[in-house]
Amino acid sequence: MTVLRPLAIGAIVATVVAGVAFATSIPTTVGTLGAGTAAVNACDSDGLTYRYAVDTSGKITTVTVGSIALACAGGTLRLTLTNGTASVGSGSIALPSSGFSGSVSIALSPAPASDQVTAAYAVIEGP
Amino acid sequence: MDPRKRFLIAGLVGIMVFAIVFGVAASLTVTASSLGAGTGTVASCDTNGVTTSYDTAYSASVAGYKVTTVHVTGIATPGCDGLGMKVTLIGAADASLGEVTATLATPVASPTNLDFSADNVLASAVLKVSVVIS
Repeated sequence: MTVLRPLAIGAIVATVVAGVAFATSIPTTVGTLGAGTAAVNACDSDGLTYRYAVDTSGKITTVTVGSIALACAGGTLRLTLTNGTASVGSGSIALPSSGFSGSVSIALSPAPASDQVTAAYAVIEGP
Repeated sequence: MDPRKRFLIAGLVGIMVFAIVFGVAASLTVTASSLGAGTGTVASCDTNGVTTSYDTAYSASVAGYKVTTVHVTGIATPGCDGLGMKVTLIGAADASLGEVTATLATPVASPTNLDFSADNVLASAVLKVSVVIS
């Protein structure tokens, strides 16, 4: 017994060591991974105002968009007038980065007949 | 045979049998299947973040301005060269509104532009953007 017990204990230790060796013997290769999520905030949260300039033929030539938040300075404002969902006139303008007053006039192309315009859609990209 | 010798031999045999059983039992205690495990560091190819910007266009099909292009700038090069990138536009309740994948150029283009035209994502519905480079 005194001879076999060390052997038995040795066998147990050898088995445990072998198990540990198995568990740590596989190398791990990890590729790079980068991920992130960010909020997309609007620079203006309280809406815009529109004032339409109509020429003598009844066409809307320019639209003055006001109440633009100063945080939108440096962005680009795009405006589309529609009849239903069909575009009848559009324009865009870069909002100045400095000295921006919160109001801009946008020339439309083509200039739609005022009685054909049912809605105005605007978007500000950036800044 | 001397009764004392007989007793001694019987005792030795008993001890040997016990020792053998004990030894066999010990050597068979653990039968383990192999198990491989490892841990590695998941590193990001870009450590200082990226910036997104957007192009839009009016779309009658969505009755408003939709996102046409997402520009991603500030991607590290050469660290992220040739890797895949996925950009997801996210709306209310964290729902995916559109997702576009691309393979980054070598060296990474700045900006890297992703075309979202086919996704018909209403610009006003976009609340978050998610970028994954892997």
